[in-house]
Amino acid sequence: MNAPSTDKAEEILARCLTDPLFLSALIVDRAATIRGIGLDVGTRAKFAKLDLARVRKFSGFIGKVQHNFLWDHFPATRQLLNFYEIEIEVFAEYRSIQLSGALKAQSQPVKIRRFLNFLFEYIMIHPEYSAVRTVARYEETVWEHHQLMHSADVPILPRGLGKLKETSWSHMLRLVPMHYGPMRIEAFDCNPATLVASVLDGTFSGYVPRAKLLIAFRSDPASGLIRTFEIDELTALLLSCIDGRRAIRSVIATARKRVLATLPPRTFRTFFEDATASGIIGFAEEFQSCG
Amino acid sequence: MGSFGAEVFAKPSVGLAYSASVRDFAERYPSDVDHIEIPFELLRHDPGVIGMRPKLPIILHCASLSVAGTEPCDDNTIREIGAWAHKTGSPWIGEHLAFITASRTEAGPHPEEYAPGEPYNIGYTVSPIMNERTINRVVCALAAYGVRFPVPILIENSPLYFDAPGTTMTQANFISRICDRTDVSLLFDLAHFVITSRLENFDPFEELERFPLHRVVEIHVSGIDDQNGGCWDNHARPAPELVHELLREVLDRVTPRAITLEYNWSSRFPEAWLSEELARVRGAIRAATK
Repeated sequence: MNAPSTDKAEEILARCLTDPLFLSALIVDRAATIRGIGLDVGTRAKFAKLDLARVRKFSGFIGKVQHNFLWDHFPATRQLLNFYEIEIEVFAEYRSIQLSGALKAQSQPVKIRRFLNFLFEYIMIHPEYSAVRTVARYEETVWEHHQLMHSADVPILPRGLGKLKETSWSHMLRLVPMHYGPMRIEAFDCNPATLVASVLDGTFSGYVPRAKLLIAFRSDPASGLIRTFEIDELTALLLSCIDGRRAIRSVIATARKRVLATLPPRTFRTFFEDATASGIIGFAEEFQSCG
Repeated sequence: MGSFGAEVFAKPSVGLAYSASVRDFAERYPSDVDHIEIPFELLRHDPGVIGMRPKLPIILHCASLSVAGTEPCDDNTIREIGAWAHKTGSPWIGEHLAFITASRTEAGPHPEEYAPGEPYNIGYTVSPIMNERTINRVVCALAAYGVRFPVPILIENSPLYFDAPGTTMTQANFISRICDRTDVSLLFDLAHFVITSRLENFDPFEELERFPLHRVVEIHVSGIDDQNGGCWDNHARPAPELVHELLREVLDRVTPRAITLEYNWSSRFPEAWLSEELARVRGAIRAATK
């Protein structure tokens, strides 16, 4: 290979690694794509033997390394991609989005969001890796809570975690409940915390989806920790109706309108007492026990 | 940051490549870590890194010179590398025997991102086409950059992931030829060597005979992944047994001035693994010096 050919070959390799569409074109029709570049006969012959599948994987590998920041908040997702030995393939597929001109210079949270969107689509096409979706969704929710905790919008915290049991029902109905810290409810097809733990401690061996499970994620603004707990559908519905503006009367009315028309008041009262006692909710205004 | 005497590296210094978790580890176990290797690109982006505690000797690592590339490194970057070498008191600058940028003679996919003629920037070090043309280029680059820095450049063997069109020699031969024509010293990355052995289909222990080990000043130890029909560098997992065996073999033949464990890709790399790997490397040094 003469001197200019070596330089030209290096340029084409660089283009393969920075221009996924060009690389795809080479893979689909190597002869035509090379013809369009204007290489000499010798270099064309060398490129005819280039293992393009390996070049594509190497490009994916570069993308993988350039996403090492994901380890900070998505360690189980990264570990599971490695467990299934699909890290390189996933990032090779993602390369055209990663290097898309309009999307390149963006903040890390935007890059994370973009990658997750791709990953969830990838798993829809490859359902054999459903565990990755569950783990990624769990870590995504935790990450979003961290983002929220560190954002400028510091949540208004409820006060008056008093003795709700001593409060009359009529007074209680006028109280405005609110979440003690950001709250989010997500449905999973297995216990995601257990799954994530098994991935991180290396005991994960396979994935068996179970019945739908509702998990509440709650951030504790005081400690900065995120707690997760399994909840039933009634709890999920009531918690999702609490917005820090509506009084308990309105929360119950909304819930009744949806699906809980026949439930007796005692059920609702028990929910609010238990949620208050466990520190999940408080009240927008100080309330005193009034017997 | 004050400079430190060369005696710190008179015997093999055992250190870690910088990451936030490595910084925390070094802070908790300062006596376990002799030095920290920090990439120039990180210092350029975040100069505050140099203020880490404890203040350990620093080795400057670099992935910007593109010594095997067609595009010369820009003057500003060269000046900054030199300034950081001086500021850190690094005994040398470790640079990849690779290209990171390449000339652009045709418009790429996003011409609006580049000024006319601006090169491709891969953002990662790539093993070059290994032939006479590239050897000449590397020899010229080392001469040109060498005079700009207060300390020597070490060149690091890159992992080979595919046969580059136009390559006419093995990597050991390529590096030996560069050593024949220059007085450059080497940073021998054992994981890269193993990865290359898979592609070039050689026995790594036998190939050591052909590798210019007498020029080795620093050694890198890191993990490897077997994935997707290939063998890949992985700084997020401990080195496999093969890498440790090679380390023992190399230490039987030469005494490097530093051994750096590169476990810097994952912020979740367990501290217990770091301790274990450091102890294994120190054990290998002890065994070799008996």
